[in-house]
Amino acid sequence: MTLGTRLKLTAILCALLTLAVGEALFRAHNYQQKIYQQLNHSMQIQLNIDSLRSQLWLYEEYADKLSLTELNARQASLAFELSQNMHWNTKQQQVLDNLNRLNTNIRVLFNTQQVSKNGETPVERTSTSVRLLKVKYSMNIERMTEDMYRLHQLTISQAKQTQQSLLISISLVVLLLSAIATLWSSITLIRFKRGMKALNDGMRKLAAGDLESRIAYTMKDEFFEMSDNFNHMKSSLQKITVKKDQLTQEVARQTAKLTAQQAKLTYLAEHDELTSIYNRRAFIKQIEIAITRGIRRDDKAALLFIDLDRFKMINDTLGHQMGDEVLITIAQRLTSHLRSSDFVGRLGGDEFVVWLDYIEGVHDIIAKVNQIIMLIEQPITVNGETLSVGASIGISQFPLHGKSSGSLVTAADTAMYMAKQDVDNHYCLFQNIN
Amino acid sequence: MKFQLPVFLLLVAILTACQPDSTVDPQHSTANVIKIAVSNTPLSTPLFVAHKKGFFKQHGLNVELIGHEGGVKCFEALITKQVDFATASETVAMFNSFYRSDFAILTSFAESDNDVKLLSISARKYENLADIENAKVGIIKGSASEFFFDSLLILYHQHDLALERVYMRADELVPALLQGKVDVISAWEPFGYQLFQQEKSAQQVVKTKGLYNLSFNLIGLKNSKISIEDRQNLLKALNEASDFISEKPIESQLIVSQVLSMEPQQLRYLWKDYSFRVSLSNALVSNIQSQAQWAIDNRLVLKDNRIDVRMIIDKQLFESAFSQYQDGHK
Repeated sequence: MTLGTRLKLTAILCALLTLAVGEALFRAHNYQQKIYQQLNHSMQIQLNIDSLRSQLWLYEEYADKLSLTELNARQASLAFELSQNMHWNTKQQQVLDNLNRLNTNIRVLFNTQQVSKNGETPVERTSTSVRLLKVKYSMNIERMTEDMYRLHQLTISQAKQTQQSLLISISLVVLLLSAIATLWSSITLIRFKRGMKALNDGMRKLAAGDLESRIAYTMKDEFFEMSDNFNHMKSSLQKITVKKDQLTQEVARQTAKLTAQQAKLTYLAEHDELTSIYNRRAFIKQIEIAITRGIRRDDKAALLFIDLDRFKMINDTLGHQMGDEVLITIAQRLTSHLRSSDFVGRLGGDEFVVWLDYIEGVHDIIAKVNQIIMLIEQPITVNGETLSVGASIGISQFPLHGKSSGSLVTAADTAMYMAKQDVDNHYCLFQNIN
Repeated sequence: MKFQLPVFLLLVAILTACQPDSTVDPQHSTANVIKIAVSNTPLSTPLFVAHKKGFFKQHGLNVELIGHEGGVKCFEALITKQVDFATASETVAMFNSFYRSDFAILTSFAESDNDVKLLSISARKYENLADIENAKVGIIKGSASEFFFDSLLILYHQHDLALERVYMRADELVPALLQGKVDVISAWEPFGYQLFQQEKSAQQVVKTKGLYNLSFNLIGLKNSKISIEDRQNLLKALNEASDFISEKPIESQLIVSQVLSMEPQQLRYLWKDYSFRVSLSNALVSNIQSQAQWAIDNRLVLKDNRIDVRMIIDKQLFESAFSQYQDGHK
């Protein structure tokens, strides 16, 4: 049942309550009127009886026709009052019947006097007859008084009883209705509170970022609809949020791709495409970094300028592909046999450069150079063909022959050129030129 | 709203607490049997009804009704202490008041304003009371029959009328009239009814309804062993029986006709003159007083022995029973 229907029913219950109270008041009013009329009327009867009594006294005094006529009039008046319908109940009616009977008895009593008066026998009121008459009518009047007392009692007790039963029935109806109204309103309140709580909890969870949970509300009322709508709203919100996440992930993926591409580009920019060692620009940059570090630490280093012998011939006779394979093999050998602080680069063609860091003595340099020469001269097998190249190496020293990349490369190049000229030696120290 | 439930409970509690205790205390029972000598006449209806409908029991009374023929025998049973209470007319009480003062009328419970009638079978002859001059009148000496006849003569100012009084027993009246031994009889019920049944031409000489009141009373001994409470309860039970008779006359008549084995037709004939009411008013005092005066005037009793009628009427018990009754029930 919806809350609207519930509230409507509550309103109807309240209206019923109001009607019941109104009806009760109306009945109480009617009843009061009836009692008032009955009491009023019984007072009227009482007055008539009193008037009859006084007329009886007058008759006793005068015993003439006038007083007898008046007595008859009073009796008729009493009879008339007794016959009035005042919605008496059975018991009250019985008392009234008895009063009527007593009134008739008085009439019969005085008829004896009337008959005598009209009869031929002269009226002779003796003290005995007067006394007996008085006793007789007094008895009747006494009984009338008794009956009136009973009528009053009955009327009052009936009033009391009816009022009590009216009060009880009204109380019961009003209590029952108000109890139902109270219970009904309480249930409505509980339902309302439950619905509000369910919604409130749902909103709080949503505010806390919970998109998964749903409001579980089973009562078929307005809150059910609201919860349903809320759940729909949450579903939509959840879908939107999922899309956003996917977007973020895509962006991250693309960014990573770009970063990778950028890294690759950077690598390509710094490395020789064929041999994957530093190209000229990157090698120069690395030397400059090493020089800066060497100056700061007061280190010594050597730069080897290597030019391959017999490479041109291989390239020309066996083809560029074979030449390239030779270059790759040489680059690999150089890279794998250098310390981690050393580095190698290709300046172009068959020219390689090697930076030996932290190397001080000429002997050390020469030992390393001989090692490198041996390394290069080892046979190279390409496509089943064994090839062999040699090397001429020019050596410049840092900081002895310059504190810039340019001067050191130039010095080493110069020394290499000297070594190429020298038939005995495959290497030449720049310092020996001077 | 929060406070409605507690308020409702409070209301219920108050209403429950205010409920009057309406039980009549049926637990109160007397082991002793209360014996009542009851005259076998419909005038005893309230006692038969109270017994049959359990009004005595409701008041914790264990009552035994003992039937007797007439109030005089009931009264004898009372003074010989065979019973605790007796039912009798005020005339019985009046006569006995000249000889003893150890009894008291507890209440009057029935009345008839037409019990004694002046009857004849030659209606044309007597059109009014003066016409009975020189007639032979069958009368039961020193009884309601004679009191009624005398009252009638006095009221009609005919007390000097010359006529012949023929005294006889009650059961002789109707045969005497039918056999022509007397012209008129002054007879009480059920002789009037019997006459009307036997002789269609029978008629009342004058309409006398209302001129003589017969009352039927509950009489007890002043030094009765029955407690005041039980005596009060007896009156209450009779009062309830009277109410019952008022409310259900047909059912009451059925009860009486069963108890007395009386024809319903006869009962209906009598019923219209009856009034069942528990009362103890000055009307009874006046009635007894006037009968006592009549008894003295007719030398039926010793003049000097007369006692105050108020001495044989227990007004105190009556008033205490009903003032308490009203406080408790009304």
